[in-house]
Amino acid sequence: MEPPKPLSAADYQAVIRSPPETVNDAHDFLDQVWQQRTDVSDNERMIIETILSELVTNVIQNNPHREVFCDVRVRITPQQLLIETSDTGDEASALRPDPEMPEGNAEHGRGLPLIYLLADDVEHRWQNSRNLWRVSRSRISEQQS
Amino acid sequence: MNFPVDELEPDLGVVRVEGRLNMVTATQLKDTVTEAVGTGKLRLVVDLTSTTFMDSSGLGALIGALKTARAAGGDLRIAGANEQVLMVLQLSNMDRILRPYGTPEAAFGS
Repeated sequence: MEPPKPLSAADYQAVIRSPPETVNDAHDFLDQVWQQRTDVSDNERMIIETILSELVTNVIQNNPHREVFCDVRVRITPQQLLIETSDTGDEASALRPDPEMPEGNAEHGRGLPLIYLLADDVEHRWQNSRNLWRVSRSRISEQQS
Repeated sequence: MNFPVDELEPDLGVVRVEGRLNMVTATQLKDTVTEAVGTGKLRLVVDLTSTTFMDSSGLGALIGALKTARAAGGDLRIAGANEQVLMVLQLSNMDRILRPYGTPEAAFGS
């Protein structure tokens, strides 16, 4: 994975190619973003990292037997945190709004509910043979707390 | 490669998870716990003091490890979780099943 490319003062992007890369490359990408963005709070960092880890994990897990490319973009403005991914994997299955947490013994199925709980808005669409995810969270409440 | 396991008591082991607990290391944790239970460590503490991050894959591995320990008549508890790990536990309502303790020693009251 190449170092994060700032599209502008607020945008950072990377491409994760799996295999050989893993979800750890998404974490490493964010570590480099944080070095450039010391204004992002610890709380915001753990929210972004959790959301991105779940998104990239889903892409890799849903495409276990082939190479997949996942473009990652993080946009940080004074008003909003935005995480976008675009992947070449199979079309993600139809999503229910506000998916529920599975029962306590379940070992899978918490990723998407976590994303919905952490975000203000979650969008997914299938376009040009790619899954496009757009997950956003307002920074206003963070700044006021 | 498994995570290191320290012995607090003959039947009580501490699994030390360093770094990220995610889909890359989930199997490593489950294998570590399965092996520890197989060698008689029926009480296990997963020490998360050096765990920098956990997502739902890591949480799933903890739940699988808990099931392994309980199926053998034992139990598994967690200790030393950071703010991010606590956030994931609370949002998923799993902090009621995997109650976080401050230290491995406190987890089983030893």
